Amino acid sequence: MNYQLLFVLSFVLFVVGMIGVAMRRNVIIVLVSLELMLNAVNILFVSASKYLHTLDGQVFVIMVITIAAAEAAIALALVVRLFRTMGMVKIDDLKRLKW
Amino acid sequence: MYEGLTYSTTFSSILPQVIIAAAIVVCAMFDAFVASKKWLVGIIALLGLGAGIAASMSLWGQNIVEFSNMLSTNDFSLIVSITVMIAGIVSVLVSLRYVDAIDGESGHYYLLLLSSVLGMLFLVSAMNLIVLVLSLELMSLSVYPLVGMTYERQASLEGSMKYLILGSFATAFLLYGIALVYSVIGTTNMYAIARVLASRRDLAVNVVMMAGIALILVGFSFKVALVPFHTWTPDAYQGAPAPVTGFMAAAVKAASFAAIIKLVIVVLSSYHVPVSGALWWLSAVTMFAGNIIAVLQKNVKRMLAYSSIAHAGYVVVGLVPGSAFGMSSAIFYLLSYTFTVTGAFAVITYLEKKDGTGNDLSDYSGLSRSHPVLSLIMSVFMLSLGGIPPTAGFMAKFYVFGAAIRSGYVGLAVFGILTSVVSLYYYLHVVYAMYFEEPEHATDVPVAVGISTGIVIALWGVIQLGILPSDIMDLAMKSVQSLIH
Repeated sequence: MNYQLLFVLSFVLFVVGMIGVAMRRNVIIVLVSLELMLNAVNILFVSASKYLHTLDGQVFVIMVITIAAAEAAIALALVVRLFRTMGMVKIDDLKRLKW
Repeated sequence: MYEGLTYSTTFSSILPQVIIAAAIVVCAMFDAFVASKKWLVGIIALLGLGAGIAASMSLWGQNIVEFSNMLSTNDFSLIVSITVMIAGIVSVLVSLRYVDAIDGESGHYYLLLLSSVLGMLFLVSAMNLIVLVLSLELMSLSVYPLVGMTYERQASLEGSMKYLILGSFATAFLLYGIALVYSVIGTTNMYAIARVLASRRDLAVNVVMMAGIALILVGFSFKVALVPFHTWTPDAYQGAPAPVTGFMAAAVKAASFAAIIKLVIVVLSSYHVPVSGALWWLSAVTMFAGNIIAVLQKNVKRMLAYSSIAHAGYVVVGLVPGSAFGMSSAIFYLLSYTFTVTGAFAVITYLEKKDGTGNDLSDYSGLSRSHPVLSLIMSVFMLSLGGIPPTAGFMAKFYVFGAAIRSGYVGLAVFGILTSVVSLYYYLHVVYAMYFEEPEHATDVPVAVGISTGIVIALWGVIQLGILPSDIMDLAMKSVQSLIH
């Protein structure tokens, strides 16, 4: 099995997610990009676990999935609140607080 | 390392965590079934935190490793646990009136606060990076909704959203760093990683390993708000209700820093690439930027947010030398900052109005005419933040700069002292406004027992640590030694 390819895939996914968080203006897309970063972590953990023949990485993946789910739950609750209060979900509009 | 220690499978070594978890359940039940009296939920939270502190004290001096090397209870974890639980008690006391003022259901405020404390307790006793990440997230995920608690205010919601996005971003960095370290070493146990790091010199030139360590440091720098990873802090601190801001500045910061200190002592001290150079720059930039931007602020809460960034820089000064004395001085700094900042935010809570206004410097002008005692207490906290004797803030700065000078980092210490002179400008500005400016409008705040009790606890800590610091410093030294073996 070609592990290098998996490591590169995970790195590329992580960078794509990072760019998504930094560049996109819609809160929902930003949250999706965050999930992408966490899943890049998962791929790295699983492939490293298989490569090293230790199970720690696979346990870690289950925990990361749990964290991602909890994070998404709270983030979406906030997005709903944001939409009801301000009527939009764009990052650019979150600029009441400055300096 | 940890093989020679006592093993057991009982829950007695994590008694504080068990107590807090039980308090969460009782609070939830009470909130659900005795819905009319919200302050009772707060009282239960207080009892739980008090019992947690008592349990931590009863475990003092023991060194127990449990749950398949996942958790360790030692003096280090206990002293930080006690610190965050004191911050929790003051925050709950300060919140009592404020939570009552929120319309509708509000008992979950205490649930979130307690579960955040639970995350911190596990964070400081984590031996495995899995536990470290999980507890860090338990802590952070409980604080995000607390910041957005007053969601009718746009600023509160906005601060919460920004905090969540950047906090999760930081978690992703931290996780990727851990994954890289794991892919090189093959274990997630901190002591096992340290052993491999110490025995394999080739890891010092391994790019993946260095990237992993760097990403872990970046992740934690986000959590404790070191410049340039601080951008979420002012918004989250200003948007959050004042008691929550105090809790974030004191407890969340102390627990995250404790995790960094533990990583530096346990893991990074065996690494052949010294991290002190990176910490040196982080600390210098943080002290400089935090203090300079704070000077420009007109809102007291936002000013204290930048001041809290600057204080994070001072704590890192204690970490740079890597000596046991430096680490102990950092722990002492965290304790003294906890007392000072929770007290300051208790006073701010007194003056904050329900719609989130009342925090501007102009609202503090002439406060000494109408509220002489409150002004005096606020002045003590401001002087402690600025580092003027005989307060806790002075002793804390004295110890961290002393540790830096002792290990030969004179330049960093001098720079730190210069920036803290700058910081006096904006702390004394608050004092000046309260005593020498004419009041712009009449301020009338009703006396609240909870807030006053919280202020008394914080004030006691500030004075106690300022006048008799050596006992606490001894405890901090012991706690650092318990990590080193």
